Amino acid sequence: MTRRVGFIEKISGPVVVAKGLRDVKLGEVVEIGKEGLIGEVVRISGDLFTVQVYESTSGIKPGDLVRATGKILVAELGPGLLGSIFDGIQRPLEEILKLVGHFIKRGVKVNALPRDKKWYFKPTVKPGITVREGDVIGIVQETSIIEHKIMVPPNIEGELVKIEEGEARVDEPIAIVRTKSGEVEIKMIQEWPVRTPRPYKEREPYEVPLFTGQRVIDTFFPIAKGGAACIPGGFGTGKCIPPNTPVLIADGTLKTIDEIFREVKGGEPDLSLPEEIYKVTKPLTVLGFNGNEFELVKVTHVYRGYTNKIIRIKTNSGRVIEVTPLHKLLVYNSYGTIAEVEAQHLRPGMFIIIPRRIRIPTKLQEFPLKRLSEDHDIVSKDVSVNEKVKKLIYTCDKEIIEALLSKVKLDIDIERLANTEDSLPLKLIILLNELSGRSIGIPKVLGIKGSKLSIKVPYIIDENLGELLGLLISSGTLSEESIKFFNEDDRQLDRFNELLEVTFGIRGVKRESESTKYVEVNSPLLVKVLRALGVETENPRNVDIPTVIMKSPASVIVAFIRGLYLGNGKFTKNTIEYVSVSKKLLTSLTYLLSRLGILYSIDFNEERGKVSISKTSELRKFYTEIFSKVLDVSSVNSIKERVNNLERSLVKKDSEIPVGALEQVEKTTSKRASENYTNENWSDKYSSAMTVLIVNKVNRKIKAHELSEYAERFLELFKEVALDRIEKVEEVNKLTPVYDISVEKTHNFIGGFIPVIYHNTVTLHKIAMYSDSEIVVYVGCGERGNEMSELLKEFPKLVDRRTKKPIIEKSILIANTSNMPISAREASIYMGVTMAEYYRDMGYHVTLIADSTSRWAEALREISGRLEEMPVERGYPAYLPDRLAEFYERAGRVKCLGRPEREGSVTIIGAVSPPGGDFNEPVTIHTLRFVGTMWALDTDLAYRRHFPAINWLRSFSQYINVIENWWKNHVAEDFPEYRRRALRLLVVSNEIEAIASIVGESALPDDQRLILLVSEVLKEGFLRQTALEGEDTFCIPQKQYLMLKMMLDFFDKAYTLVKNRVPVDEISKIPETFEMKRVKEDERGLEAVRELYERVMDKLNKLAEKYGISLGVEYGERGL
Amino acid sequence: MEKEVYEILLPYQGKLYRRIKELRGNLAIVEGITDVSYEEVVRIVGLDGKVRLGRVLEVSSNSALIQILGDEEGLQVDCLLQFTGTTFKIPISDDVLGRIFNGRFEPIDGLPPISSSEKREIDGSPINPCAREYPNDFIQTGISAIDGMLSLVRGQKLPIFSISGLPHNILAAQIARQATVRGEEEEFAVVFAGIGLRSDEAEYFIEEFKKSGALERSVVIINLAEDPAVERIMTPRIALTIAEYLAFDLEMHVLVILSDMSNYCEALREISTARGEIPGRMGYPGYMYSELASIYERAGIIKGKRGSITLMPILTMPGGDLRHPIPDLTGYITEGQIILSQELHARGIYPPINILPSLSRLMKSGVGPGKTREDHKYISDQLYDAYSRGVKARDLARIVGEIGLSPRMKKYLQFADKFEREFLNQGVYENRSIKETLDLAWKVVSVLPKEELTRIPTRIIDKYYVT
Repeated sequence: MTRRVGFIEKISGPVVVAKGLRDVKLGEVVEIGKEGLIGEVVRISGDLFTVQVYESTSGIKPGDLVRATGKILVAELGPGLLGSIFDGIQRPLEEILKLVGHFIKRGVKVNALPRDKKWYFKPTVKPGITVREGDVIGIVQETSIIEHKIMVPPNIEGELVKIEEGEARVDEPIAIVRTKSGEVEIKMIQEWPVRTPRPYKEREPYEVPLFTGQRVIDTFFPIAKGGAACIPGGFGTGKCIPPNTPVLIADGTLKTIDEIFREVKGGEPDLSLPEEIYKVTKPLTVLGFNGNEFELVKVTHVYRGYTNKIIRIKTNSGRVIEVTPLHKLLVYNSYGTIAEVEAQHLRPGMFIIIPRRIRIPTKLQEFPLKRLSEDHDIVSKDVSVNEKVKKLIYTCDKEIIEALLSKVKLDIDIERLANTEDSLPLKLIILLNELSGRSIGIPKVLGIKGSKLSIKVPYIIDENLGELLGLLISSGTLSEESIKFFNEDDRQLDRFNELLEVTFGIRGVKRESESTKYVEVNSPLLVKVLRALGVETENPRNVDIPTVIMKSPASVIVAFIRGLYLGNGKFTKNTIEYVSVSKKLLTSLTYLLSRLGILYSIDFNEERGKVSISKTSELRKFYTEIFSKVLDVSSVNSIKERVNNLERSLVKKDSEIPVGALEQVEKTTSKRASENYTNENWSDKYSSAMTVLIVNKVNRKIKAHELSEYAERFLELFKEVALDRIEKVEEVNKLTPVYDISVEKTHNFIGGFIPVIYHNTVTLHKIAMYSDSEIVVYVGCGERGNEMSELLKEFPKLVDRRTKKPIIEKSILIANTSNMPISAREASIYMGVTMAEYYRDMGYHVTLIADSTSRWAEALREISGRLEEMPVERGYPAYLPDRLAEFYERAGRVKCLGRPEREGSVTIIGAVSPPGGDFNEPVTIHTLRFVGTMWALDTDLAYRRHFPAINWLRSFSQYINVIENWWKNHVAEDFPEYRRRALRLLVVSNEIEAIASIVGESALPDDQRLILLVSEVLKEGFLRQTALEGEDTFCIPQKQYLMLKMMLDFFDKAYTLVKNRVPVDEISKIPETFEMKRVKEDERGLEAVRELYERVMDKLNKLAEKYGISLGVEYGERGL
Repeated sequence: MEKEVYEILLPYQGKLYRRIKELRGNLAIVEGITDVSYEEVVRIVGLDGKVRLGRVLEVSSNSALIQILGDEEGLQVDCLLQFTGTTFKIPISDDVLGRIFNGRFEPIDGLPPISSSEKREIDGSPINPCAREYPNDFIQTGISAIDGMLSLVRGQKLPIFSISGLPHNILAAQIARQATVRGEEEEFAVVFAGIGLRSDEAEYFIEEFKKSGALERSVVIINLAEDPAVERIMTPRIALTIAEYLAFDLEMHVLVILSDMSNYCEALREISTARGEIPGRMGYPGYMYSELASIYERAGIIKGKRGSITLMPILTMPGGDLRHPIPDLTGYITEGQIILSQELHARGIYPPINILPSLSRLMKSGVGPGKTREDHKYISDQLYDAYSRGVKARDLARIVGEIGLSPRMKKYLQFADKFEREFLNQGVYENRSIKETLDLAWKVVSVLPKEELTRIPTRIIDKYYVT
């Protein structure tokens, strides 16, 4: 093979750019510089390729050589893995220690598996048979407890011609297979690319629990073999918004967030609970911003909590945003990137991202005939439709028709219906249409019963109707009998009549009173039609834009806004304003303007509010979008003139550009800009906020073509969003319920009284433990050095419960402490999971503990930053969720490839340590999507030295249903019942404690005090399990069950006693009550619990006798 | 003039270049250069004749980004650059003991610079996890709150999270003065790094060291608030390089105090901003965690060596906010934290350590029979538990009044008061032995009836309970 060598162009931390290797592959491992530092190719672009280096690059120079190895990053698999300690790229740390001393020097190369060690290989098959990938051909006793199965490597199939028993090194052939392409030597060592999952035959369902010996986990929040769990540390509080905040739904309408909550919950929020969370079952779609554009995203959960502090943010455009302090908003920072900032950290002068243009897929809306048909007075006067109906009635069975009529509750004589009337009830037609698949057709002429009046109706809400509604809503009134439209401009009144004519085929009468001119239409029918369309003008404060308009496409919206502004718009010097006393109307209007991509500012006060458009660019857009087609109306002419005037004196700078940015661009880049954009007005082409980014990039000497790429990208982006400067941030202290929704993918949504992008919430989670799995792979990524050394010290001492051998004999450790190279941290979890899969393929149950995946994700982020990739949430790269999913998906219980048939599993337990204990950060949020169990660590419990500090109210396990079956079959039939009752008791006692903390414990009734007493026994005696040695380190399932049974049976009997007026103090005085908290540590184990159980029951029976109460034989009365 | 400048550089080796392309704060972009390595040290001499040091932050085939250390003011683009061909190293010998340096490792005590052929890179290398010895020797600081409940062990890194205005420096000086390993007469060598300190704070430490005679076994590195921010990046690294030399070459037990790490982080942010990097949380760079780890993780013990490095970083939490990135990221690397409380300070309690959120993760390995006393772990757990209940009772009493408390809660309230007044509170120069501390703990906890002591085995209660 020819030597493939390139050389370094640029170095920045662990990222090195090199060139000169045209045939380099993505993921290929390269060696860098004299020392041969190991790195992996992560990007290839033209002649250049980028390498992520696994070691410190200090002292490396441009021009140093880069040697390609032709291999991608692989794990060496074979006997010798167990008991080893590796770094993130599978270099054995013990060997490095021997080679270079106490500190890890760079460029050390050591084989993962010792090449000098001989293993005794014992074949399990005979020559002559056909073997294929995954087949076990022999075994090696790797450690005293683990038999290493030697499997045929992937992609090899053929006749086994030779197999030899005896001692061999891992790289010596032990067998020969004759394949189609010749004879292949089989060695004990094989390689596998770490980023590719190893194959298996098929996945199997979760059925078997993975026992950890920790009661709180095994009994309450179990994990299945092959499952995935995560453990978060610390606590966050909710990030929410106030109840009446509107949220933009995907159909274009607005719904307040509490309304959404109620719909999902199917009832009122229960404000006595501190918080509630519900899963969304019916599809609910909103709009989210993915960093580039808006997309439709599904809502997964709704949440309600409380806050005692709200942050109120006022912006330059007049937006008032109210959120909890931890709620995040998207902020455009001076680096030209979008960051999420918690509301409490927002300061005046920062720019928040607001939607500029909201694109919603919509279609023309149908005319709401069905709603109209609710009114039995409305009839069809469409002759052709009516004829069809009559024909149908003639041909139909009379009884059927009668049944139909009674169904729609129409009291009509059929004879008359078919013969005399030339108008038929609309409801009937709608019904028949529904039944017959619309074969009858929709009536185009409607009338009102008992009246000669009739009007035409359209099929759909078109532009004319849109404009008409706009006019009406802005300056029309509806009474029972008539419609009035007021305007000073005659042409406007004519226009109203014209639209009426086109749409409904009627005209109104122009009238003039003392002060005003108006058009009046006397038509109760039209009033009904308009009401059905959603026009409501009775209370001016409640006027809103009809939902049919909100759901309509842009063309109709344009017409509607035209009507609205022509009706009541204020056209003043350089601004167009719309003033209204209805906040609802203005809120809806801002959304409509955003749908058209027009920016505006808002000013709300108690009485009224206004939406104004004043920027030149926006005025121009407003004019061209909305008025350019309109006929001659004086107010429009004045805008036209003004826009034309403004065009001439056009100010180049848009005010949404951060202050001073443009000047900075011009100053620092004028030279470069003139080189590259000689023919254009550069700043005009790239006006808008991305200029800052360009300054930044130019400063970092990015090449011209790249610059224009960036510019184009941002130009694209700022078509979708705009910036809004924060003017004022204030804290409001009040206790109020707050709501939130969780959204897939984008984790934000559009909402607010004026469209804003809100970031959303999910929930929380941490832990690691030894279990009954056969192999343990521990990946310490970004761990503390001393903790790692503790693990290294403790591990060899720990004794496996079943085999009584050191746990290290079944473990592989990967240690990448926080000060070791960042890239190796990124690789470490793949290395770990590949080794785990290898043992799974032998038929073992493997547990992989990754501590911590947050540190791993941070490594991903750091490298991504060095690669200058566009960050999304909190600076994490957009592919973070994919990487997390890929990792957790490698867990599973499977049927292994090859013969003999065997089953293995990889269970992944990932620790998440979110910064600031904030569970709404991307790593936690995404992890929760891919795991089935969460153990929520509770700092409060930890302070009280209650370990494991797993909060029983907040943890969850989705494996419980399948695992309960296991308990039922293997331990006790009634286990699920005890488990549920114990959890319930803990929840109830939590509520009682809350009351007790206010009124004092002694003021509680005796039955509640008993609940507190028993919950204390459960917490101290069952949930708490601190022991590092002795009986309580591992609690067997039978003992867990019996302890739980003892405590709950105690509760049942005691409850009966208390109900029969035995003072609770009498019960708490029994020494056995106290003993129940300690029995877990008794060396006699299960026997001690059994013995105590008898005594407890006996004591309670005696107490019952003393008070003359009968306790029954089996159970007492059940309190819960 | 130019000639003079050349003469300044003459005695040193390395390629010379003239002219910086762009100067931005303390960053300089140089173009048209070759053969420069990442993190190489550069000498920069301006026309004013001053020599400044710089370090290469980013390098590509013909340009380099240099971070200027020292005073960049007065520097013009027309200057000379000498690329030294090596990364930043400091000369090191046992002469460093008793000396005071600035953040560029230049002596500021009037004595000559250290000269030695032994030069060390200040970045150090990670200790092989397999070479680490797990820390388990109890350090007696003579402070009850720490010894009793947040025991420090040799090789640990335990930060003090404080708030501006609290006596963290007084506490750190007291620990430096009093720290001993039980059973060994040997005292700790102290390496003190003042990062962005006010001169009076720096003065306090130096005075304290002089007064107690500790200066001769100390090395003081002071980067004052007025010194350039870039040097703050190097200050802790120089301190730890010296500490590594003392601990692993001279086999001494070293206590390193870094005060105040918040200033270090601020400097990191400042430089990152100047470089135009993508900022992470609150503008701090995304790699701040790795940066902090590369400093903190240099603490520890190496198998087969007698020496050790115990690290005590001090940081002031901006706005007292525990979730601020600086304390937050620190907490993920260090083995616990000591948190000072404004409330206790206001009540006149010294040291104002808020026990509840404080934690020493390595305590379990440093206490117990043979190390301190058999009852240590239990009594400490019990104190935590009881104090947290006591504090809860106090909160409750604020609402319902003390009369509304149950007799049990009243006991806990009584306990919390006694605990703060007698156990926590002690004098700045009061040095309590571990026995005194534990006996005091029993005296305090015995306010509660025996049945309440659920964290302690009966055997131990019977032995130590004070009636």
